[in-house]
Amino acid sequence: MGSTPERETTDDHELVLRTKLGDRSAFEILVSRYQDRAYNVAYQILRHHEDALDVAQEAFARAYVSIARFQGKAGFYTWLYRILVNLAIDQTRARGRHNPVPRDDPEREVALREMTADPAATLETKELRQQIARAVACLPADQRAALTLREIDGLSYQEIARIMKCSNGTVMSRLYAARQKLQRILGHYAKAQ
Amino acid sequence: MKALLFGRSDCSTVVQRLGAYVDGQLHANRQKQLEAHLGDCQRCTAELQRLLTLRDHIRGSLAVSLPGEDAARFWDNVERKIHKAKAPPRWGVDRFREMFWFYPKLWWASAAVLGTTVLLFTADLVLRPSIPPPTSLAPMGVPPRTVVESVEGGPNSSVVLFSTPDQQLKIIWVLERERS
Repeated sequence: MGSTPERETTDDHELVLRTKLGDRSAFEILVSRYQDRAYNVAYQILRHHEDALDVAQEAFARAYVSIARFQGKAGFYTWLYRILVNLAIDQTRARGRHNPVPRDDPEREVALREMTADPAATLETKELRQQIARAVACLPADQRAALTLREIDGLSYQEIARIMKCSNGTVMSRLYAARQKLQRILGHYAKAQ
Repeated sequence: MKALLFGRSDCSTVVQRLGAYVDGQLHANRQKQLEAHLGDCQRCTAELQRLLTLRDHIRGSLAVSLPGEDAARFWDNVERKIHKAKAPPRWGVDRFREMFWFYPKLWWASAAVLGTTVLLFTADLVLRPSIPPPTSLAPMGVPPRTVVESVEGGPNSSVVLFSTPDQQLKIIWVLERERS
């Protein structure tokens, strides 16, 4: 395992090159650098701790096995996130087949609106977080993924488009749809602030 | 004037672009147009305020951190998965699924091979010349039955007429001696 200064200073490109040459400790530094963010993205898409952990680890393993094919045109994290987001979305689809949950369930949205109708309840930060998390869980997986990559990872539309293999316009419309839906669900709370 | 591109009646277009504006992803020209509209439209300004509030809530609520115990074991589990992925492949449905996941072009290659096979098979059926089958065929491996119908001989040549009744063929065999 690399020393702490090496972990902080060595850039991704060099670590990728060293990994390609067979230095597994270089890849370990990449893992430790991105494991939190990868888990977070997977968790926001899957909304399940164990599944998110498994998918994040699987994404790193697949990245390592196919690192020779990584050409370095985009950043390492963009490439990793592409693997991760694909895996997570595949998982939600597979889960949907076994345990189907309607993606756009108006009744569920109404229930969430009612839950957030009490301003006193929303004063509690913890409660608010739970409500937002529930509202985000209502979104389709691709909108959740776009929203997480934008709001949590702060990626540009172009980076999100590369990760999700779509156009910038599609990213914009997914984010717009996600925010509109969240505003519908949490709207009265936002107005109350 | 460009600022007039977003007039009062264009609030729906502005609202659609507010997200990109907040994210700093609009081109400079569009940004100027949108800001000009916002300076003149309270409704869209209120919408922008709601969007910013929502963004702050999302950012404050969605970020989760990896629990310490899982973070400590994370690399070990990744290594285990790497080892598993590098193990000799066991051919089965899962292996095929994984292979196609890794190499999406395989879908196209497989589709192309399948399509070509179907095309060749169909073309062979359609284009094959239709030859009427013989009325009777000798059994496989058995030489055709031959009947000598006539033999005519002269001083310098002879003609033998054969026939194969099974295949409805007649053979005329002409032998000619060399004249000295």
